[in-house]
Amino acid sequence: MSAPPVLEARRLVRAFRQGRREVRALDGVDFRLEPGEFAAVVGPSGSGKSTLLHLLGALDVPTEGEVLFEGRSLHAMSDDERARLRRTQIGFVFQFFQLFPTLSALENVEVPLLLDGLSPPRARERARALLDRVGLSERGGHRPEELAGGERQRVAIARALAPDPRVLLADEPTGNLDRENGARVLDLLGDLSRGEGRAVLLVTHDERGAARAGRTVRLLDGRVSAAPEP
Amino acid sequence: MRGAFGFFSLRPLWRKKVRVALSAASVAIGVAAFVATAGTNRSLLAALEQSASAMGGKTDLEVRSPLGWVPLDLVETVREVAGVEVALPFSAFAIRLARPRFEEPVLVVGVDLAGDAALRVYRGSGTVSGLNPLALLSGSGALLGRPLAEELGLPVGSDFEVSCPAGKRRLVVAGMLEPEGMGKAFASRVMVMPVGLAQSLLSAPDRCGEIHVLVAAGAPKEEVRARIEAAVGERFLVAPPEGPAMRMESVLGTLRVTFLLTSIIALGVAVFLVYNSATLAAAERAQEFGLLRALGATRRMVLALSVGESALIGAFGALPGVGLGAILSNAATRLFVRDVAGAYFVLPRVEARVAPEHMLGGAAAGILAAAAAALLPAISVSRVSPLFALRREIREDPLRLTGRLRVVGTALFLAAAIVAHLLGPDRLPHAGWIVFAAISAALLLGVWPATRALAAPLGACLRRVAPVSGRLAYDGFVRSPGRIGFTAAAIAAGFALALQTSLVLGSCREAIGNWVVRTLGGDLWIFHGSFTTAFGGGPFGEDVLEEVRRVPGIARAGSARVRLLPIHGEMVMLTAFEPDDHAKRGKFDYLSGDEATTLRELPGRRALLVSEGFARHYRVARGEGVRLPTAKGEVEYIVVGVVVDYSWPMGVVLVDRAVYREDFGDPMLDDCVVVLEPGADAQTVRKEILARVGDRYDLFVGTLGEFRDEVLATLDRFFGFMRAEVASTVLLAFLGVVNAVWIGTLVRSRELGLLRAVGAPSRTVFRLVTIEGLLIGAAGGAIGAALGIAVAGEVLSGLSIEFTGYGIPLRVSPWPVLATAGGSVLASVAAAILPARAASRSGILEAIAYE
Repeated sequence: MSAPPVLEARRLVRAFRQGRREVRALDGVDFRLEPGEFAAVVGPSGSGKSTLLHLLGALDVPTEGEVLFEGRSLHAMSDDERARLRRTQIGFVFQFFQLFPTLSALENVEVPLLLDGLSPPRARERARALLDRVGLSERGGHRPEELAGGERQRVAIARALAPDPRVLLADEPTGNLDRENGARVLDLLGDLSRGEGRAVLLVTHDERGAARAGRTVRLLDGRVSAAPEP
Repeated sequence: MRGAFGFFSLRPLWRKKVRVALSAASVAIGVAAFVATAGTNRSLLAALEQSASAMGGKTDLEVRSPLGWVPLDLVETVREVAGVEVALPFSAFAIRLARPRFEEPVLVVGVDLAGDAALRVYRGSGTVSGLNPLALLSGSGALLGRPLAEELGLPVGSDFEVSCPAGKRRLVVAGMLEPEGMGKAFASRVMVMPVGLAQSLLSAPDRCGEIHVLVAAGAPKEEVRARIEAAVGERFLVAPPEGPAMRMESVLGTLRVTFLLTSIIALGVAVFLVYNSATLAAAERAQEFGLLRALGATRRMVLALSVGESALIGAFGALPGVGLGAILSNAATRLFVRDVAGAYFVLPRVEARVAPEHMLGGAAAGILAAAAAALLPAISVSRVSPLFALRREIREDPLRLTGRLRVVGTALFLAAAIVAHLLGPDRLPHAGWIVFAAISAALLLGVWPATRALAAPLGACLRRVAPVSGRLAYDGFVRSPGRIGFTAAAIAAGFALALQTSLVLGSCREAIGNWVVRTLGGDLWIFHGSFTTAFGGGPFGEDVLEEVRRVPGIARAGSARVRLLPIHGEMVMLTAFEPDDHAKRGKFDYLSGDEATTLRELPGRRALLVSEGFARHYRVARGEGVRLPTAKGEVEYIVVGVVVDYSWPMGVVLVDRAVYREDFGDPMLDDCVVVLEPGADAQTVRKEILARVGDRYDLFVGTLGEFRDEVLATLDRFFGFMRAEVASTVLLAFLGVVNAVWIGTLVRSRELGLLRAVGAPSRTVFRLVTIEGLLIGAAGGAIGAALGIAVAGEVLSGLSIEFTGYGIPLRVSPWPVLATAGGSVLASVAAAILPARAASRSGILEAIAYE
């Protein structure tokens, strides 16, 4: 019996109200992310890419349909259980880095570990190792504002890796980076998938970036328009 | 979580030092007020208990009388009762030393020299170890507490003069007592002497204060007590020793409630400021908390981080607050002893001490209050969606209540307040407190609809005067019910408290000042000691009255005896006066009865006038009887009228002095009132009175105006303490507006940035933010003025009646009301200036990028 997908979306609908009008950001999307897979979701602005990522990452709840993490429905989980899932199994990388501006790079990486109850010395030890892993061992004491864009995004990746998650969700991780730094980040994500067997889902509007993924899902107006086989 | 607490609760405090300092300062003020009140109370009671314990010694039972004395020959009767080991006479009373600049009273203790060492501890200073210092006493010798003798510079063998009801007397220092046992009584301001000598100072040689009994070992105390009761008769009370603290507790309870109420309000406003600060932090850091949620922090974790941060602010404030409270406790105790309690009781020197449990209690109250204050904003941020972090928005208003619920709830609470006020304490127990609770609830619920309704007309005007900034300011105002409503409530509460204090003081001054002049009357007043010790200076003999009547320039001289008498377990004031003389110089304000009836039915009869408070407490009316404990046993006096009298919170009865002299066997006087002949010079007459009787008594002669001024000054000093608390409350409310307006600029930073981007000058932004402060101040001031008048009215009627039995008419003068409304507007506009400057100077791109 094969392992269930890490993430699975079934007939996902996410509707928002705009005044009296209902807008469907996602309209019946099915999607699967297998263990160790590197997949990409592409589409123009407003196609529902980020909404899909938020639902898959247990940041939001669907209007209809359901999301399963390793076969377990997120819908059936309590808010605390979903928080725990985010804390331990899912790593996020955001377009705008979303680092805590008042904490150093090292401290930013420590945060999820401390939230999970790791002792401060052990959290620090692991955070150092992760910064070393993304090539920033010398920059741990710097605050985000003292780091370049590419460095910030690598800190964000180190933070996402901190709890050793089963899946990494990256929302336009290169959107705010120059070409060279963007390429380095994409290399890093590719390594994480191939080298460590971690599932990675990349949301991007950059076709070249998506080309690095093993599979690309195309969204248009909240629906999957084409899904080439891996 | 430990490390996360450091990152997200501790560090932000360091980054926002000024705000944290302001919030902590507010908690410190609230805690200090609480600790000072508790410390004052405890210090007073502890001092009294210590004195009582030193004086009581091993005494098992006391034989005493409601009159305050028992005949000396009763001692033998008690001694003969089976089971009585020791029965000894005992007298204790306060006198003054006839020394300039030594105002404090000294306790005289009269004891049986031969036997008293069996009951109490005496340790002489500089005497042979084991020698009973009482053996040193003879003639006019007294043992002085060593600290007292050293303070006065009196060595053993020297003599000194005391001023007592028998006039001025010289005593000799026979020895000194170490501050131990009896030497500790009355903070060592004690002099011990034979009971006969002590009683001679009171001009009552055949009496003693009470009889102290030691029950024989093994004898059942209750049986011995019953036997003594049977032997002495029902005129005397046989009971375990009763400390003076018990008596003071009931009388001063009212005053303490007033202090405590003000402290609670101060702490309440501190809670508001912490709430405000937490709301500001929630608005500023909503994105940070959203990101934490995205990274897997549960709601409970976010709640704990947020509440923990405020609890830390509470701790930062509570610790210095406890220290400040201990310092304030000193000042408050001095004020209480000298100006409030000292007007009614003779008190020892009281060392202010704050008990550890009060310190801990104060600190815990500050920390818990701060944590509780942060709960609503913390719940709000804990509910922030993890997506919030990604949307880059600032949450507008964390607290929303539906409008209809607010209006209905407010109306219901206001109706309850009105009903409770109309019923009053006579028909509804604790009506005053119910009114306060209902008004507070109505304020919390109704402040937003009221604020919006009050600000609407002003907003309409502002939109015409300043079309852009006025309109945007008003729009921002109506969009934030939680932020604006609570700020307006704090401003309203702060200024209402200030107005209430001012109106209550003004009304009390007017009512009491008028009462002194109208009811007491006369040109000159003669007291033993000074005005401020009117009840503690001790009485003097009738010879003063006779001598005064002979002084040239005096048309008439009347007198009165004022004393406390236990009736149904409460200490009631009895004033024995001369009705005919009084009618020629003063007028009672009758609530029932009239002057003609009084002059017909009071002189020479067992009749009395009662104060409004007495009539209410004991539910007596004109024509009914009141039983008074006299020297002849319980005697019924008939009520002939109910009058206004503010001299004593537990009620006053006024009887004819001739009847009192006969029934109570007490010829002493507490004051003489002189009416001058037309054209006579008050100063000349004053000097002549002192020349004639000044060498016999340490008398004080003052004019009626001086007496009234002294009474009003005492009132002012009492309110002075409250005013300090009120000032701090208003300051806290001011800081609240700074915070609230700051939150406003923060949540609207994009709007303000856009305004600048489309060409609005920075002064438009400045004006916009300031106008918001103006709207808050105008609405808060109007609510505060209405609230202040309502609360003052309730304090003077409902609460006053509940605690003293009498009400005081509310006098509303327009100036304090206008000052409240104007002060609120000015304070709010001033509070808005800082955030307005910051908002007008912030960079356009930065402001737009923020969101």
